[in-house]
Amino acid sequence: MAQKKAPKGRKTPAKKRSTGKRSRNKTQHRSWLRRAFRFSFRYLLLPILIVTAITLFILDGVVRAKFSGTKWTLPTHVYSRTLDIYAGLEINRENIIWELEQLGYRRVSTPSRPGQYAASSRSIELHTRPFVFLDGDKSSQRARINFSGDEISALSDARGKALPLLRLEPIKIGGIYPERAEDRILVRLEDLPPYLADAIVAVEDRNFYQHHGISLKAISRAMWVNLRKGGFAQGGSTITQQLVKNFYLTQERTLIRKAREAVMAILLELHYSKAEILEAYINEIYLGQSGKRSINGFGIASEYYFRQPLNELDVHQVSLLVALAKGASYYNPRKNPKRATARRNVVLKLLNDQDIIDEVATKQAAAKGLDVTETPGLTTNKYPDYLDLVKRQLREDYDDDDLAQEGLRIFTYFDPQAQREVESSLSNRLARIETQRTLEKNTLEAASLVVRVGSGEVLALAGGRERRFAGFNRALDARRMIGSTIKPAVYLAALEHPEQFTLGSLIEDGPISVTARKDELWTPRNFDRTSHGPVTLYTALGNSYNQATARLGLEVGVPEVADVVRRLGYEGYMAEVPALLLGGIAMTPYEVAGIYHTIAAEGFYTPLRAINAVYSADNEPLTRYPFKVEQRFSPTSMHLLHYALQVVMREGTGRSAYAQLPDSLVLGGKTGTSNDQRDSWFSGFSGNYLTVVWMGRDDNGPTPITGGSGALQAWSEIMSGLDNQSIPFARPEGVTYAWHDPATGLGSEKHCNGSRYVPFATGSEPVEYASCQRNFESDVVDWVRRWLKLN
Amino acid sequence: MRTTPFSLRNVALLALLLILSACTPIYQGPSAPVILMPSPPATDPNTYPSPQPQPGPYPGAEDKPAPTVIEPIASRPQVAPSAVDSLLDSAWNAYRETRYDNAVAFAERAQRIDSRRPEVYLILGNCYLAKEQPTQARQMALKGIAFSSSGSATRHKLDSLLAKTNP
Repeated sequence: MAQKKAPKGRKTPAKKRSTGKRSRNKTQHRSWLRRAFRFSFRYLLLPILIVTAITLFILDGVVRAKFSGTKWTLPTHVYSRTLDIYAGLEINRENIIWELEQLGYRRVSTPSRPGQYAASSRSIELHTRPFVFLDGDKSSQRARINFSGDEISALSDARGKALPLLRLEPIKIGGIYPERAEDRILVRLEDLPPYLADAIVAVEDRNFYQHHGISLKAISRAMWVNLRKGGFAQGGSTITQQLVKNFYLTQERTLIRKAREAVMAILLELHYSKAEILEAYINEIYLGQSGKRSINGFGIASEYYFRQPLNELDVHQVSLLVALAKGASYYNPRKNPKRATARRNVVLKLLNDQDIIDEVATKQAAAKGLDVTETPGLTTNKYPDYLDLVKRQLREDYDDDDLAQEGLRIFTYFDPQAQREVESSLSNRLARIETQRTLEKNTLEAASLVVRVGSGEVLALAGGRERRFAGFNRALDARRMIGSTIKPAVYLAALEHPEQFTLGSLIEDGPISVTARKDELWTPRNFDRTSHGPVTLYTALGNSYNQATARLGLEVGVPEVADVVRRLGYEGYMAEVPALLLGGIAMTPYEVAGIYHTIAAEGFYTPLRAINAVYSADNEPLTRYPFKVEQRFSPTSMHLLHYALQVVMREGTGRSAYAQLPDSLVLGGKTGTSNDQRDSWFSGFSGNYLTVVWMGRDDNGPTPITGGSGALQAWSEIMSGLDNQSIPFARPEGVTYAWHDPATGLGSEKHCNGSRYVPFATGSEPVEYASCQRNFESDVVDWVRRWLKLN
Repeated sequence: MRTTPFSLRNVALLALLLILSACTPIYQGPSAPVILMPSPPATDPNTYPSPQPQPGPYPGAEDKPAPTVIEPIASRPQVAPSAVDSLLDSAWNAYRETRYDNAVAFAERAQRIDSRRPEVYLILGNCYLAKEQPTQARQMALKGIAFSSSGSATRHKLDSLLAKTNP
């Protein structure tokens, strides 16, 4: 605004002049100030205020948005099966202890808290942890397990009363992680062990409950200490500021970042309670590094360092974790135990100084070791091949983002004890075969899986000989020629026609040729290059005669055999050509297991499954994968096939299994060897386990091993480590046993020479009888046996 | 010595055995006609893969053992009956309280211990029927029937479950 100027040369009285000048000066000064103020306000302060307001608004939004919603992307954690313990279970004391150690149970003299056990030579006393199981919550329980050899002889509670069952929680076997690989187990304040919250406050921010996000006192003290020491010696950040730094900001050290941290800390305190902030801090703080994964929060750190749940930690362990907050790498207790111990003891002293623990407890805790496990409690996916199967089955229902971020809990059927057997047997046997056959080391590869018969639960899976290596998963992806593995399907197709074929029917094992493509002849031959003449069906399958099988398959019809293979569970493409009858088809071990499971389960098809259920991070059930079943074959034809597969094991190509397995165990199975011995297979089952083993070379080259000399040996070793039950070979309705003469295929009598007791579909048993040469020898032996038993 | 009479008896029996076995006629082969399967028809397999010798038994298979008696068992012993019974009781309780998922979970645990207990499939079948999944209920009933003995109470219940799920 323009000022009115005084006219030039005009005289005024001095006083008036003086007063007027002062007044004018004053006015000018005021107007300058006003102008300056206006200018500052308009061009400096106002923009600053506006920028500050906008910044505050934005920061407030950031603070609230992240803190109120899902705070963290949580990895999916994958668990094994739960272990049901009961009297009669075949498991030895060492295996139960191994299981308890995997779960992080601590061995003590008298278990007084959940997660503890005591072991003597013939018993284990334990205090189980509470766990939310699929069929309901289970509180912790004290129990005693008594052993007799490799079997549980009795199970009782703390008062000695017999218990029907005891259940151990599942073992965490791996996880599915987000790209920014953070691992975390969320904990709530009410679930913390004693002292943890107090210790954090005492060590990190003793005025936590008084300040409003920043502590000027702490900052001044830190500045004073740093000035005196001439460098950075102490930080003045409150717990809230540390949370803001970790949760929202980067780790850079600039003044702007520091200012932003302070503002956000105040905003955080404005909106949220101290309890909420402390809980977030406990779940966010960086406490270590496991390979690519960072260990965030006290929950996962407890598993990582002690292999124990957080709420089971003692004060010396709690103090160590709190000590790590100052520098997880610098105080890493596995790498720098002395440094970590010193820092832990500083924490203990602080707790004592602030009357959180007394002098005696401080001394006792300081005298203890670090108690950190030798190996991290959370090795990254110890069982990558099994986890691969879990992921593939999960992807049918969940997308990758859900799997890596939603903190799902996946309960599987994985049996770590069965997996141990598979891994050690494959590695032992391959090494032995390579030595015996003078092969270069690591020439051969293998894959195997163990399935629970009846339920189709995949208990163990190895995709190669190298443990813990997430490479090519041969169990799921290696399609290899299955050779004679397919033969049971040929015989099953025949046995479904009892009016045409019985187990006692004779089939000619002689030269056979059929015209193949481009006028080539398909001329299958036996492994021993010998024709065996007319043989019974069970003899042909038992000894894996190719000529007899090819003849039988052609008689039944290739399409009919292919149909049986499909009904057994194979869903892939099949060329319906004669070569199919002798295994001219490539399958993965997983597919073969699917087929043999239907056989082992007496004709009931069940899709193989690795997952039991999926739970949310809040422990709500999301998806169950229940047992499904479909009867695809009659009990009659399955009983007959089981008989023939037992012949394989007792008299045929599988009989060397009994060198490693007890004679009393009833087993069924079949060898398989592809052309030029490129693939060695064995697929077989007891009453409760089906195991498939494949061996061969990755380059598909020939090997010196057959199904019997390769895969069967590993199969037998795996099975010898499992608590097998015999195949319950009960005669179903519709089956009649009759004596028959294997040489003629005709009926016979018990006392006739060479006669054999064989099952027939009722109505198909032989009506004509062979001439009988009485077997006096056997009569006398029977008589003598009876007589000796009676006396 | 206490064993002398026994040893003497064994020696005597052994001698008798040897004499008898020497007298046993040597088996001369079948006198009745042999039933042979017909030879395969010379079909036109256009898509046959190239012929390859197919391996059979492992080397040394000529060393064959004597046939083993493979006989069906008269009755199957139950596995860990008290553990399974306790789970089945829990399953029935959950079923009665219409907590079908829990009942299924209990029954499946029982199945893991003894997969051939027909009661397991009776519970599962009833749960699936209650959950309006008659196809699965029917299959469970069929599986239970395969493991149950005719005339048993469980068999009767399984038969009736099967009847309810008739398509």
